[in-house]
Amino acid sequence: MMLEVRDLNAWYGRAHILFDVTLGVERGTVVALLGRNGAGKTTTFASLIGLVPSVTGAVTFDGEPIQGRPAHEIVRRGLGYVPEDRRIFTGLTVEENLMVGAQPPRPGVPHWTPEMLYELFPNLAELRKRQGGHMSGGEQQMLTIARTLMGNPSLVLLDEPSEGLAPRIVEQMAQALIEMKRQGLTLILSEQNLHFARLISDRATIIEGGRVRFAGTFADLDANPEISAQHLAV
Amino acid sequence: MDFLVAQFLNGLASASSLFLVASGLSIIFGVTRIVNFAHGAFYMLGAYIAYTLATTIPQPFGFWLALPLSALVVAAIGAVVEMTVLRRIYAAPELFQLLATFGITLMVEDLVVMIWGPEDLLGPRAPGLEGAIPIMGQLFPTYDLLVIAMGPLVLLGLWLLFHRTRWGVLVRAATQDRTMVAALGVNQKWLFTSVFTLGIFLAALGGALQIPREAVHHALDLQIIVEVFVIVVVGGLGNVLGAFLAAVLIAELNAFGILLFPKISLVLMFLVMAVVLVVRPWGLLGKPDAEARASIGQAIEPLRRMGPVSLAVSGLLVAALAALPLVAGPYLVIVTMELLIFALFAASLHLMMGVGGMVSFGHAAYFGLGAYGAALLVRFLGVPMELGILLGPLLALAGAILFGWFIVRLSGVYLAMLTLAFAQIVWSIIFQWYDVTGGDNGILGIWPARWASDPKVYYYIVLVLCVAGLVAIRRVIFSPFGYAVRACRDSTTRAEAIGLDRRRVQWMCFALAGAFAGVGGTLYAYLKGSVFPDVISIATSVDGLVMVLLGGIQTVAGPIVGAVAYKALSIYMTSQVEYWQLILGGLIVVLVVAFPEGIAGFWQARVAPRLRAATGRGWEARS
Repeated sequence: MMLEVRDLNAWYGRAHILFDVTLGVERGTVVALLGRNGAGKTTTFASLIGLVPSVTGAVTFDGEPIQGRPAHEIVRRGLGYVPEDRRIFTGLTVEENLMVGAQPPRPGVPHWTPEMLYELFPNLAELRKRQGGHMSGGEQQMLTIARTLMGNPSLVLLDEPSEGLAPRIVEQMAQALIEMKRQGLTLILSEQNLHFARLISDRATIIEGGRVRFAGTFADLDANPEISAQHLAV
Repeated sequence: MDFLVAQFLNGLASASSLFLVASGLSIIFGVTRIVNFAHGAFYMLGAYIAYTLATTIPQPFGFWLALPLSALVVAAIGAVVEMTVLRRIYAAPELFQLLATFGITLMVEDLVVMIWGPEDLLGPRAPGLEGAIPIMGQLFPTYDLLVIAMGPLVLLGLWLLFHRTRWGVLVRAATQDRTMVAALGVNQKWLFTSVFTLGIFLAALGGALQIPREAVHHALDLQIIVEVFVIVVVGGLGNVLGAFLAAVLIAELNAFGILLFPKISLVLMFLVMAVVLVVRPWGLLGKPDAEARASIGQAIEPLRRMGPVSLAVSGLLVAALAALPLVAGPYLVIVTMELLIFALFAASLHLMMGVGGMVSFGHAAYFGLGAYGAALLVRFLGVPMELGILLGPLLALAGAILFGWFIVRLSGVYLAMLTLAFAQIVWSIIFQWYDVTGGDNGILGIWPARWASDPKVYYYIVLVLCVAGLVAIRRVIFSPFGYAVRACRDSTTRAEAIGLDRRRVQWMCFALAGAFAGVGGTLYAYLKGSVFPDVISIATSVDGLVMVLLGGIQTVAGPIVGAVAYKALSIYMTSQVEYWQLILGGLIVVLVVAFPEGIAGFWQARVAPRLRAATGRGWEARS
């Protein structure tokens, strides 16, 4: 297991959000974290990356415990995070946004340069000097991912990368994620879009009401249509 | 004409030093979200240390070495302060850092008197630049030309730093979204420390540059911090170019204002700030704050009604207070009156900042208006005390209604700064309108009616009105209106979506808070028998803030506890200890670091649950 999460509980103030969440991902594979709005997907990611102050449970990344570590330390070990709401730095240019994400190369994982990222996301190449605030939603989403890749992560948490994108852009996004996987990256992808998730992922975990309700392959999921009906249907 | 040019250059010279200090403050705020009240103290420290270095190292090197050296020394002190104090409280509720930096300011003020004495110190002239050169027939000090040049030079340097280095890019990124910067692997701790150090370096350099121009004294800090706050806000928080433009604007306004409008020279700067903020709520070059991202996991605890135990304790407390004059001497009675009045003042401030989410740096204005309301009625109409107590607070209410209309148009730090501006306007009017208010001499002879002239009798008036006021504030908080106020605090959009007129609700809340403060002010005037402009000073406003934050902003009882603790402590200290500010400031810093949720908040969060025994894991909620 590249990342192993056991009995993760999280609170905001006194509100209990996550209940004994357990999940894992093998090196080089992609896991889709599926669930409706408010199911706890974002909180799960934020907890893993060290952004939620009250958390209990065990998180092992690359064989080492990371729970309770500050966010920057976790990220520097190679756990990249792409937040859902495209938190790009709007006052910075594309180049500068990438500069913020830059970390030294890590052995055994791809070492990204801005040039490689412009190849992966051709749209960005023409916008190098453009301010982040003057870009379309799709371009911003690509920049968010590129910025995280600048940290040379071995595992990337992507929070709803397809959300709110035009179908054509979703297609490009899927291509980019498949390319990332081909380069050997491990991904956890939170999604509401089952179709998009299926394109990229090897396994699925369903979360609802802060609890894991299903974990398995997409074949398992298809064999039990009542599961998706109960936890995913809108 | 020639004179005007000289005056203009004078303005530019002060603009430069103001800019150095303001840019530091702005950068620090941008990244750390700390409103560094101690910035003026570091400026002052820069001037003092430069004085010492310039007078001990032999000239001509002494002076020129003193400037960078003192800035470096003070920057190092700043770094230590950041690492030992501020670093521990970044996660604490907003404004706790303000409280800590206020404590540091108090300490520095006493420390400089201990080290350098209370006298004004005149620094040496700059070797090589002692003379003056004629500019359009007027002699202008050569050194001031260097000072004028420093402003644009530093501006250029900062621009290069922020746009040509990775560190600068990180700083700009963190100014927008520091959580995201951390989530990209940047160690915030060191980023914050380095930013704070740079900001303090600039402040200290600004102070050091001043030594040939004006005397160094121990009130420099407050003198500059207010102007610098104004500049930073007018320019746009976190925007260095904006700070530069605003520094020039304000400095020239001061330079010419004193010629054109000598009678209202003090008000001018604040009037400009008020106008700018109303027209451009984020300052000249500032950008609308992307709705300050509540960092994940921070939750506002709901205010709680009193349980039976708290009710019983409060009842006992009031009974004990009622019995106090029977057993206590006059001194204790008078001190208790002061505590009661400030408890009401703090509770009224809490109503607007804790419940209403509108942080005020100028709540003293309404306290002072209440006091002056009564005093003016006595002075010009000779009204009796009974009527004075009734009508005095109306001036505060009127002021709060007038200013509140503008204030609720803003939010966050800008709102706080506008309250400061209005308070300073009130202060300046009272200070400069000598014929009506007596200016600095105040208004004397505001004594209670004959039947209440015994402090023990007046005590009961104070007790009844303050307790009634506190109960009334409590009732407001738990009334439907109080819930509406809290809804507007927690989410503007959602409150508006359910049909609340946000501005109107906040405006009424502001007016109410002002009126309650006014009651306190009126009672205070009759207690002291006189009023002076001091009651409206920034110090009084900050006292109020300290009380609320010390007591705990997320509790209803907090401000009362905080007011009693802080006021009692400061009354005791001023009478017993020479360097009381040092001790008080130190105490504030320790309290803030040890109890970031305030005294009452600490009780509620840590002690009370244990007393009640474990209540389980809390409720279930959805993200």
